[in-house]
Amino acid sequence: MIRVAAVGDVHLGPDVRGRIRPHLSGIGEHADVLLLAGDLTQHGTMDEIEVVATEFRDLGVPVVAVLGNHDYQCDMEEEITAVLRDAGMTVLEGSGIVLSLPGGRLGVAGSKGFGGGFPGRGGSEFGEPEMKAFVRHSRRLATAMGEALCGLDADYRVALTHYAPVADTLEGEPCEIYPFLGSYFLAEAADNAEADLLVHGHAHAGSECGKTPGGAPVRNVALPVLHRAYAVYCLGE
Amino acid sequence: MTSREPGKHTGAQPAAGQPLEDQPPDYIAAQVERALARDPRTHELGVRAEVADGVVILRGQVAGEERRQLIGEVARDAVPGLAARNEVSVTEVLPPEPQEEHL
Ligand SMILES: [Fe+2]
Ligand SMILES: [Fe+2]
Repeated sequence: MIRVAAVGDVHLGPDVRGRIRPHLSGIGEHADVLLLAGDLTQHGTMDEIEVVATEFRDLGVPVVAVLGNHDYQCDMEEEITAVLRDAGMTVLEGSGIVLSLPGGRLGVAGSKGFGGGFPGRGGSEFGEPEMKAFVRHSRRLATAMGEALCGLDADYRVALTHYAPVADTLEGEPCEIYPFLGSYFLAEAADNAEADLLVHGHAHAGSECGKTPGGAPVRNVALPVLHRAYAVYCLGE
Repeated sequence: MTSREPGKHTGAQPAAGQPLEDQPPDYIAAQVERALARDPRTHELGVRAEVADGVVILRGQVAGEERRQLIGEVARDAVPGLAARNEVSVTEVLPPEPQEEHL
């Protein structure tokens, strides 16, 4: 059995330093890995990401993260990624990692992902260049994550994104904004790779549980949804 | 519900320079949400604004008290002519639940 802890949308910064850390001590007794589902910062600045690095360093379990849209606000995503890596975390974007854990090999592939919507209610790569670029960005990120996931030699596979892969976990959000909250491209890519679990954030007013059209469990771990420092999901017996 | 006094607008375009607080409530609410998203003090997308009876009501969750107050400030700056009621709350962070979920 592999115990996957996850949380997203911590939106940390110097003003809320130390908000999660007290709840992370002893995480190794409850979980084998911690996934961070993006929006680690509020404004995407270096002083905020230093707070994130302090909050999640040296936990005794591997920490695997993707960035969220807030982490891109200052166009510092590369610098932000470097700070997190220096703090010992893995940051995924169209890439994956296999962790050898006591319960088996866990493969995690990740991407920020993007919007575009869900089957029958989404955008198309058609018409104006801006519309094409929007949907293409989403499709490319999902494709890269799917390819990374397929390539992982692991006992269990998890797709980690910021944007939502299904509409189930958006319940509670106004349905008019669903196309800005996620894209089914992510679910499709994860289903094609036979993912065992999809973890995302971004939808602060959404709900925790859903599943993909292929039947894989989806969990929205945004902090305002969980109201707790992290959730733990167990894969396997 | 939006109401508009007849004759207030002379053409199809909204009157240039018309104070925001005289515009339909939906536009005021949208303007406040735009300010919250774009203002470097907040960069907040998770707060909804609603305008009812001339009051801007703000709802959502943020990560800290200082941010909650900044939401109110930015909203008031966006429509100085209207009162704002800040119902935004600070997200609680409880300890992890002892019970994990088996998938
Ligand atoms: Fe977020
Ligand atoms: Fe987000």
